[in-house]
Amino acid sequence: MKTRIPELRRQRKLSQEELGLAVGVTRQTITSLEVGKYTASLVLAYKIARYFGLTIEEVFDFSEVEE
Amino acid sequence: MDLFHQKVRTRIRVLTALAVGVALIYAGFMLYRSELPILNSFTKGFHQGIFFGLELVILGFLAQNIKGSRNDAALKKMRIEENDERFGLIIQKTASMTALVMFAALGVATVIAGFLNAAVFFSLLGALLFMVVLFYSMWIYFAKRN
Repeated sequence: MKTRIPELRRQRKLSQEELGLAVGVTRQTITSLEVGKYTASLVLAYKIARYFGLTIEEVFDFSEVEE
Repeated sequence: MDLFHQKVRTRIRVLTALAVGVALIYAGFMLYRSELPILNSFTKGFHQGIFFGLELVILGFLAQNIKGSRNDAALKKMRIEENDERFGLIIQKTASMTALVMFAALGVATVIAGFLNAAVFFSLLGALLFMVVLFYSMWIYFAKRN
């Protein structure tokens, strides 16, 4: 799953650790999300999107997620 | 956060009781050693290893929880690490794969033991049946809960 998290983090000069702390996950989870190895749950996707003030679709691209 | 702090405090109490309990059981075994069956050195060493290993694991968790409960930042970090959804998924996948491999290995070992030794065969069969019963009990429990 592709995400815009790295780009949004860079814009706000946020580290992975800081974003993780803000949304309640570890730095490793943020890393996995950014490289597309892990698909976020609906709750986490919502928390991240809300943190950046965007909608889930604006942060995550679900088009490549396997059914 | 208060709820989690309370959970950690309860955990500290339980772990302390467990650490003391395990130490007391071991001390009891040492005190009444003469009344116990005579064991070979390997079994004795194994028993000691189990007790010391268990005690170390409990003390390790205890230290981790005490450290985490001392300040808010450490507590928050601990809560995040414990409730991280990716970590939970890794644990779930590891546990299910381990159970699957154990079922298969135990099944094969039971069949092989059947040709070699009756005592080993029935021990392994007992372990296999216990695992099957446990697996389906857990399955029913979690199916009803979710």
